[in-house]
Amino acid sequence: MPTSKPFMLSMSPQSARALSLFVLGAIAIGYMGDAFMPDAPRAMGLALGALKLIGLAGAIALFLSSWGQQAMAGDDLIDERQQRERDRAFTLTHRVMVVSAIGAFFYVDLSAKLGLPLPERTRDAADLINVYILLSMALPGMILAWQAPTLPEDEE
Amino acid sequence: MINGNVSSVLHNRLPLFRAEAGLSRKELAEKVGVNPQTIGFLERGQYGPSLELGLKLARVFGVPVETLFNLDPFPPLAHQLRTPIGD
Repeated sequence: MPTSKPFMLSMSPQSARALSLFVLGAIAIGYMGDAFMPDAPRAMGLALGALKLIGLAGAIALFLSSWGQQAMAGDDLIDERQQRERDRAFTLTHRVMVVSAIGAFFYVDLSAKLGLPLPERTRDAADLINVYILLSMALPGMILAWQAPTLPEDEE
Repeated sequence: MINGNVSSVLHNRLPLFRAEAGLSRKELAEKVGVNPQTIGFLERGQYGPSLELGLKLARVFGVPVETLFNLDPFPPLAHQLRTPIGD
């Protein structure tokens, strides 16, 4: 039974789902665009930078939401149903991240043979790894929000 | 699938017992140490409790756990009331 309540942003499942889609889109476009178009015009570079910042802010908001907090909560703060949901979210996150890592491995491996683009600057490649780490932290909360059933009005 | 042919649906009479005891979901949740939403999940059959939680709930109502939870559907209450005692 929860005994103390850490700070968290109250967020409905619908809001968290919408925000998670926005975060994924903003981070993907912002970081991939920056990495694969290093010589983009200044205006586009600024737009991509803004997208990255907005995406990061959204990811932090999700992390601070009740969904993110449930994903990170210890067993003494949530009950057995919430623990089961949290564990399922982490299992799914692990699968997604492993598949992503394998995909990235094959992409890098095949890029030379097939002429696929790769980040030209080391900093951009490092940014993509940072995004990978950030997403692995935010994904469990996103999954919890997406898997939450719609509750009857008297339970919300 | 580790359940084989065993039904994974757990039927329960939690709403009936809770209403009869005059307990809100929040009050029942406090008695068994779970989130109030979890009581709603249990009542709607969206979550199957652990053995420990099932036993705690049964103890609150003073009934055997199989009176609250069963793998087979419970007969309708009206049917049970119509059945003469001893049949």
